[in-house]
Amino acid sequence: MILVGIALVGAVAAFINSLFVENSMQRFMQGYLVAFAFVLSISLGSLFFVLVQHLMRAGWSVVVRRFSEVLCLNILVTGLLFLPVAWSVWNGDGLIYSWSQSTTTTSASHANLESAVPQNHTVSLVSESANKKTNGSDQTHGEREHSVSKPFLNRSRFLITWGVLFAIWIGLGVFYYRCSVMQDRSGDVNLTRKMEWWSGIATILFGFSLTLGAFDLLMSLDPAWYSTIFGVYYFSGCAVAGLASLLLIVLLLKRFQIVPSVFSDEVQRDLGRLLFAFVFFWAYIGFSQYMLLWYANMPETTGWLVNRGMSTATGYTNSWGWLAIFLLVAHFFIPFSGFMSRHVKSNSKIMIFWVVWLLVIHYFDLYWIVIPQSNPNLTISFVEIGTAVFVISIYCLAAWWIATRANLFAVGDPRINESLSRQAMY
Amino acid sequence: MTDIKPFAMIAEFEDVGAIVKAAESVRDEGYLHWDVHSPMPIHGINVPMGLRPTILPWITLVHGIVGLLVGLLLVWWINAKTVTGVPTPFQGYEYLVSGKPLFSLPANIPILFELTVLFAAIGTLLGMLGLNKLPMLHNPLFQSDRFRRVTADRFFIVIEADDPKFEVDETQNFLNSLGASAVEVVTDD
Repeated sequence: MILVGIALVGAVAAFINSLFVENSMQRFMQGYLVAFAFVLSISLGSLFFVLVQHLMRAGWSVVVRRFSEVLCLNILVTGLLFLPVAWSVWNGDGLIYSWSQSTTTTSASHANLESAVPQNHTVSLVSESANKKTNGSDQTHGEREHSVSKPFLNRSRFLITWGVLFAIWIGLGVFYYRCSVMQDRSGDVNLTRKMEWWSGIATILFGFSLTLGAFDLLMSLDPAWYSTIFGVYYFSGCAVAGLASLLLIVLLLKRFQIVPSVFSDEVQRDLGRLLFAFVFFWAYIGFSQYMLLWYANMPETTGWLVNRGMSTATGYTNSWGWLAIFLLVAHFFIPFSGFMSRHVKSNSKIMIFWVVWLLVIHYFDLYWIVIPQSNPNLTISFVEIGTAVFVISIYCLAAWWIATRANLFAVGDPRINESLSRQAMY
Repeated sequence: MTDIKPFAMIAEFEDVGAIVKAAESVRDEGYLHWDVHSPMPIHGINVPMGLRPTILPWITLVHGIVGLLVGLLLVWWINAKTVTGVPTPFQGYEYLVSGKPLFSLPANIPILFELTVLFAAIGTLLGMLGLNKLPMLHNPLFQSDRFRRVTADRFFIVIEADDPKFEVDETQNFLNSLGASAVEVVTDD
């Protein structure tokens, strides 16, 4: 298959290129983490969509729900793709998470964190404590953050938590996929009632597990930093990615006439509206996080933003700021004004463009969260692109494999007719 | 009836299918000032009626932009600005809060956002009322006893007398030919 080929090309490109860059293994693993967080967000966003449809007893979405169920079940393959991350933590090599290093003596972790701090002959806020050390204070940055985070950020806790998280996500994915597929054959209304009954509990589980997952996977990259809204921030990206993927599948099926005239324009517009809402939601949450950190102006919380180029103060700027501005413009302003109009949402061709655009920008959102942690300057190479291509190809391959083994539509759902006959209300 | 000016002609229909078909004919005939009245929403009636999309979104957009600008002016003037020559009561306060710049966007975006939303929401509401000509305390249609059933079990097409194509006899014949169960002229007092 073509996808296998692309996956191999991506992997090989990443490997070869990693020979030519500094800290090659670190670059490789962190690029991999971005790609992993990306595909995970697609699956979690799809899970969110499925749960909300059952929570609201939605009829309009029945015709497109199966695609989300497939992507949601595809969390199985993200479980496999998580293994390298888990291995890195288990191994204690500290390639991804500085806290996971097995030699947690102060000097070793300190040295590592020093290198993580921007070194473009500026002093960032984080390394203020390092300056204090030279002034005679023995409270180093490394010590402080490890004393704070040790009970939480340790290897066994991380691995057990992720075991539980994947158990929850896979459990939910399998449950909703299996019930829905069983209903294809039986048309049993009780299956719908069962899925709806569980959706409330599942949503609560989803919220907690996603928050914890985001804290572990992305926030702990900087062990000293915390932001209570971070889980919501990752969730907003998940919702964008999940809805964008769903809409992309619908639009491609429509465009290439694979299943002509099943999707009414109204379903396409509704998905577009939801996606639009979550584009705004992403900006809202992203700004909320930024503004509170900016306003509080505490050295231990602004360091994360300084690393990512969000400071404009003299001596604290770095080139990641360009990516931050790019995200603000490309993840919010351009798509916000771009597909606000109803006419754009009805146009399949233009919407394909916007959906692909959002998926790409969402990747760079995660990129901006992960990569600046150990790279003081804006950088991208085939290491990151290659790993992304590899991971996304595997993900698509698995989704394809699942999708070809079931109906494309939830034909047994009692509300399928409501969904098919849907038209504009105004 | 000869000396009293007619307000509109109403045609009564008994089911949704009939009125949708009739609406298509009225649209094709070229009438402009007319409407369909029904006891419940008929989804998709805009297509047979040939309704153009509403301009309400544009009203919302304009109000949103105005709200944004008003918000910007508000925070800039009140927090950050001292203008020489302006009397003291109208000067800005120049609050210095925790050493932040007097005028900086991060702190002010919530205000800009809220004012944008507020203006857009109020503009949408008032715009909707304006486009619908509400509140309207009296409509001559209520003088027709027949028309009262529009809230229960009958469907009506109303062609207003100020329509350029409106001629009492012609329009009456036309509406009858659509299969209306009754056609009636409503007068304007």
